Amino acid sequence: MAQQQAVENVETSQWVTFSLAEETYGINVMRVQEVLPMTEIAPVPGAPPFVLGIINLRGNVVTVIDTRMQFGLDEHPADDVSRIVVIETGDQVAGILVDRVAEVVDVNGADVDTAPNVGNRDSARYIAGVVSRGEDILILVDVDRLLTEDEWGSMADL
Amino acid sequence: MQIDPEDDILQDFLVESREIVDALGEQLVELEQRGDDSDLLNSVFRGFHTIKGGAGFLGLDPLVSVCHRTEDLFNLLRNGERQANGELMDQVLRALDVVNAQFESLEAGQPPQEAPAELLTALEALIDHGTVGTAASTGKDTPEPTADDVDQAFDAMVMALSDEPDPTGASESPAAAASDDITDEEFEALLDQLHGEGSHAGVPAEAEQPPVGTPAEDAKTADDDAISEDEFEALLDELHGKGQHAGVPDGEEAPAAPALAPRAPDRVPTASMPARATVDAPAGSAAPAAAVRGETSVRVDTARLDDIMNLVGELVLVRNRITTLCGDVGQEAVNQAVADLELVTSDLQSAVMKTRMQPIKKVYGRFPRLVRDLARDLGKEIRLDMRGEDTDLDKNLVEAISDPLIHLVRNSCDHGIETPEVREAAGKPRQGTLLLSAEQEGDHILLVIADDGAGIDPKALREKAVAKGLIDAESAERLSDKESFDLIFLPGFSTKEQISDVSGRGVGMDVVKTRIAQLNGTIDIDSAPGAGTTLRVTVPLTLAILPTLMVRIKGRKFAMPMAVVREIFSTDLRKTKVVDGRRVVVVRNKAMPLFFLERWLEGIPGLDGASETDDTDRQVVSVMVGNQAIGLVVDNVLGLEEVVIKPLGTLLHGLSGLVGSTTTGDGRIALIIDIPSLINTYGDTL
Repeated sequence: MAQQQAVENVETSQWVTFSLAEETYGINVMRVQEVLPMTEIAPVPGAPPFVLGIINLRGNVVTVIDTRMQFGLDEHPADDVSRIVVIETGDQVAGILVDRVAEVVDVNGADVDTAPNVGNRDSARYIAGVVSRGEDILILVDVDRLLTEDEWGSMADL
Repeated sequence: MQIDPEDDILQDFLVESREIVDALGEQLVELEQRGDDSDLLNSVFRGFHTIKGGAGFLGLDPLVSVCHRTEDLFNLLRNGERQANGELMDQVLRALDVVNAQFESLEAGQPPQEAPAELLTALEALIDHGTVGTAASTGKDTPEPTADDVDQAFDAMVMALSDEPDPTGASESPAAAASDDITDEEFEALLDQLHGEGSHAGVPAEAEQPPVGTPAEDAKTADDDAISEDEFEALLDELHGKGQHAGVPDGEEAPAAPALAPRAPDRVPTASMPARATVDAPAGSAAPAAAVRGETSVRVDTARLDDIMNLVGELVLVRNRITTLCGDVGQEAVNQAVADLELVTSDLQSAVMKTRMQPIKKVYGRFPRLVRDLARDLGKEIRLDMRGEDTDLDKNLVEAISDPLIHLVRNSCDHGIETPEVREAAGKPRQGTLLLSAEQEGDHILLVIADDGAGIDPKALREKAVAKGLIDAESAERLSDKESFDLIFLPGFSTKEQISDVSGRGVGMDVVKTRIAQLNGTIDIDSAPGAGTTLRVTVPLTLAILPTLMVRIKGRKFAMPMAVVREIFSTDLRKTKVVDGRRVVVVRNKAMPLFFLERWLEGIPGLDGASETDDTDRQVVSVMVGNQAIGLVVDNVLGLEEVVIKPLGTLLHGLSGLVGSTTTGDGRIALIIDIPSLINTYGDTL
């Protein structure tokens, strides 16, 4: 049924959902390279604070970002269900640490609302839209903005 | 004309021609020494001819016009009709510069610039009269009368042989004619004839060296571009009529010349060379050998090689893990299989490594021309002696080492070797010698740049350093002569009062040293006043694998490039002194400042564990930063490990204190410390 809809409606896209604190977020599946179980992250001295460190992904070094810090959330120690979602933006690959990865859902473009204006919280700028799913809402993350030019630029300055 | 830099045919042409142009630069300078070497003349001729052929196919007329004239000139040279003198070489080298510039525009996607008309006229004048004469103002040498006499006699002979009214236009050999103007049918007919008549004598190798000055050869030069089949046949008849068995190879020079151009084995056959393509197919006895050799090489993007290298590195890690696991299982058969796996992966690693190797000739090839030009500009006489040009090293290194080496060679020519007058006064031969050598020494390459020039006076260096305020007079006094030579690597030190045009453009030896250090190499200088200076540069065989010293700081592994590590010792911190706020340990009566690396990691999440160390027995790694030995205090020294460097990626690019990272045998990550950068950035807080 869902499949059928996906074929008929080009607006339908698939999103990988993950949770951070109490909220559920989604990342476009096309941007997700893979999801890794929590592994040892090597801290990098001198790196910007939101960079947790680096991991070895089959010989390639991937930088892992502290998503909680990016979204202005409190620190939370990584546990068994923590995952590193490896995402691609342009020619860059980065990992984001999340509390839990749930599922892949179809989102119809028509169901996406613009993000409610919640002031100038850091997280607002990474949000592409929200989708209500019954009781819950799914927050769609704009990966490009999560790792925006500004962000890379500010890192280069450091 | 529209240039599409993405065009495959153009790309192939560019790559191939670049190789030829590089070789030509070297050969031309060599020609100045051995102007009558027919092999050399032939290969220069073929070089220009091949470029002309490709350029003609691609419709790059400006390139054709300059190559065409140069080729004509060399045709006369190799036939002994002209002598390579300074004037001629100047023009030919200029022509090569123009060709180089044209290639640069092509590579940038621009149509090539037309060669300066004055150069073309000069080349034509050289072809016609053997001298530039008034055609170009740059010509200084007077024409050689003997050569002219010979020419005239020769011209008369050529006239008699060929009935060509204008011997000056008689420039193209059948080789050129065949690729330019004859149709395929004509060409094949011609080849049939060749083979029909004398394939029994067809020794391809001989085809490259026709007997110079025989009537057969002379007759060939008299043929024009527009040679007809009849004429050509008549010519062949004449050749064979002379009853020379060499006649066949002679004739075969036509098809073989483009195919046997220098360095043919290195090339991949391409469709861009129609001349060669037609030749390879029908040329029977001569071409197959060349064609087979041509196909043994393939061009591969270096990024792909890097990928393979990366994967092999990972394979080695997996192998290491399996090896560790098998130690626990302990079954005979499994151990055997793992041992085999180890062998194969090691071989694979070195095989992949070899694919990235290139001979240092790539860099050295530029030096004959560079030294020649410098010698001319500086009014010096310099003989360049190059050895070990075939020494292989990593491709990236070949590129990276090029600039520092050029700087050192310039320095030796400019500051080292004296003018002929000075040399004579000192009782040395007028001609100075510059030795450039390369050889493999274990896991690194040793490059030597030695001149027999004035040498360096260590006392003068010390005085200079004091005068410039780089060191104080007291420490200058204590320096040995050897240590004094190292002063020239200090920033802000330049040995010549006057900044010359050649070296000393603000880029000092300190930059050279830094660049070489970045390549994990070392540079060492030795000199004897009056006898010359020797510079020894060592670089690792490859940049992909780095020998490091693994240390542990706060429970984390870090790698230090071995190139800078001098010694490891343990010390009792209670016995150290504090000088100007910094702990200092005295080693062999010299004070060595200590830097505590654990302070670098303080306050970083995940790294706030305490060092499990005891102040009475701390491990110190002594390294060289610039000319200063410093001690880095670590928790443990784990040992030597060869690591594959992994860049940190865009996000963390340019971070101070780190070169990159690597994965250790247990699959964990170890950061590789960039010690000079670490000390510069964090030195005050460590």
